[in-house]
Amino acid sequence: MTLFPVLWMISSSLKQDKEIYKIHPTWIPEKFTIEHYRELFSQFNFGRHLPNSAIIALSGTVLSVTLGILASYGFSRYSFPGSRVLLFIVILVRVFTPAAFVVPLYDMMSWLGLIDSLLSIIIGVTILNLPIVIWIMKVFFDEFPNEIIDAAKVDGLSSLGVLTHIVIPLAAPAVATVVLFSLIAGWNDFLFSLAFSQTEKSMPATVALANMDTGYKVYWGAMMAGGTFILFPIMIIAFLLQKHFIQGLIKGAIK
Amino acid sequence: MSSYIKRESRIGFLLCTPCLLFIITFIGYPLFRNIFLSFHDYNPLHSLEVTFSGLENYQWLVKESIFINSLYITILFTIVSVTLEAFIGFFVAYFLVKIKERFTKWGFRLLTSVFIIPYVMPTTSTGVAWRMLFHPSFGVINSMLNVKLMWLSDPILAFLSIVIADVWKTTPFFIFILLAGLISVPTEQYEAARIDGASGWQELRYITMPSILHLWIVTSVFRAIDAFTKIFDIVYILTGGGPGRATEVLPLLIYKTALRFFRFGTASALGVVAILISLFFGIGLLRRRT
Repeated sequence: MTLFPVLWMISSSLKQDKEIYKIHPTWIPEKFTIEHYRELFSQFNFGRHLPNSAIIALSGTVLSVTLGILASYGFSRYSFPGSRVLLFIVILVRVFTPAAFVVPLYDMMSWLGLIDSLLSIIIGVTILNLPIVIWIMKVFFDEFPNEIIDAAKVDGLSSLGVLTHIVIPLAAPAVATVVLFSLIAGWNDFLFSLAFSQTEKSMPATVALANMDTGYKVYWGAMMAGGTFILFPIMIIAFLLQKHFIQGLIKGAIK
Repeated sequence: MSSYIKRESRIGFLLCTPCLLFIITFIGYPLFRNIFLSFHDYNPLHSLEVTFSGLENYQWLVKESIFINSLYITILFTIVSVTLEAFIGFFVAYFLVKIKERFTKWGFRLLTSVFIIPYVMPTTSTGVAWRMLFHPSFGVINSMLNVKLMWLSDPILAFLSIVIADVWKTTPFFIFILLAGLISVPTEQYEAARIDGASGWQELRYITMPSILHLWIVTSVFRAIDAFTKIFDIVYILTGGGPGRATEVLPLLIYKTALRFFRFGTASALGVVAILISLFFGIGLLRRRT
């Protein structure tokens, strides 16, 4: 039941067009073909879109994880005037509707000349990711035993040194979780990509896939191939880092 | 303040600064711009002028049925989806716990891996796959049920189809969290119950459920907030809003008003309302935790 749609998508992607349109669908293609996958690259320019997706995912991750870890460490370990209020606000962003940001952000990006640029999408993605990164990392930093830090300080490390040499290496599992979530969010992003990209200069695979429904004709075969293709990298990464993923989900809900 | 404390608090502040700068620029400013624009007329397609129009946009919201309809659909969608996900998720998790003993560690991992797929699958892939499944002519669902339902063209069926697709996609969220919760229930309680002669059903009712209840509710609330605010991708691809407006959920309405009709003023008003609703739930959530 769970795999049903996915298997169907894969199976359809390997069928010839005629077979896709059959009234009584078959599961195993009568005649295998990879023509749809070829179409992805020849007709639909996936060779441009996939790297875009990757850049968005990676850059978004780097940006949100860096900003987020620094901030959550700051919030967790140091109290300064206003820190509680700020933290409160950051967490609040998590419950906002991303669509509500589309108007002012589009306006802003337009003014900055960033429409149809990867940077605008990356910024959008980071906005979505930051609250989650901060949430999860703060939980981790809160539980981090003080003794280790104190011991390091006694040994003469500066505060920054403590962060880079002690805390971060030990935080590896939490960081892995956060990186994983950010990658997934970046790769799968649709709303901001749809809003800000117009040409293949910045359009990621997600939007390209949606555009296969051109209004005149729906390219089903290529669509299924595209859908499968986009799914694959994320699926592999998620499989490998499964443990982190599940822990992340749990930490996010329990705290 | 001693200089040590001053220095510490400065470091903390410095650490947070880059992030805060980002947030102020790309989240704070848009928020205020939203509020600002919601009181103006701004239709970039016609002219770049921003003219003050007071409460006009908000009056439009309240009078026009488009917004009320969208709100209704979104709320209905949230309730139906989350309820289904919560229950299906629970039963699957419960089932998994029961059969856990029969698997090796790796075997069990493999089994749970299967459930990750819907959750990490890009929403566009999901939308596209289900779009084909629901196709009236060559879709598998119709052929398996031996009917000829017009899934995406009938208002009620279209609504059902987005519910089904969303439930398929996010039930794993419940499954994994509840699974962890169920596993952490101390076995002594079960053993004691068994000694006392409790049946499986009684076990479920008096031990399993109470211990999981809190987690279940918290997860449901989280999921409800997400369902209400982030449902966009799947609907865009599956139905594009409906037949008519039958599935035009709020985020989709905001998007369409903004980037298809380019009525920025109205869209901002919609956005402000959406954020107010989210704030309401968000603060409620935070209050209950702290």
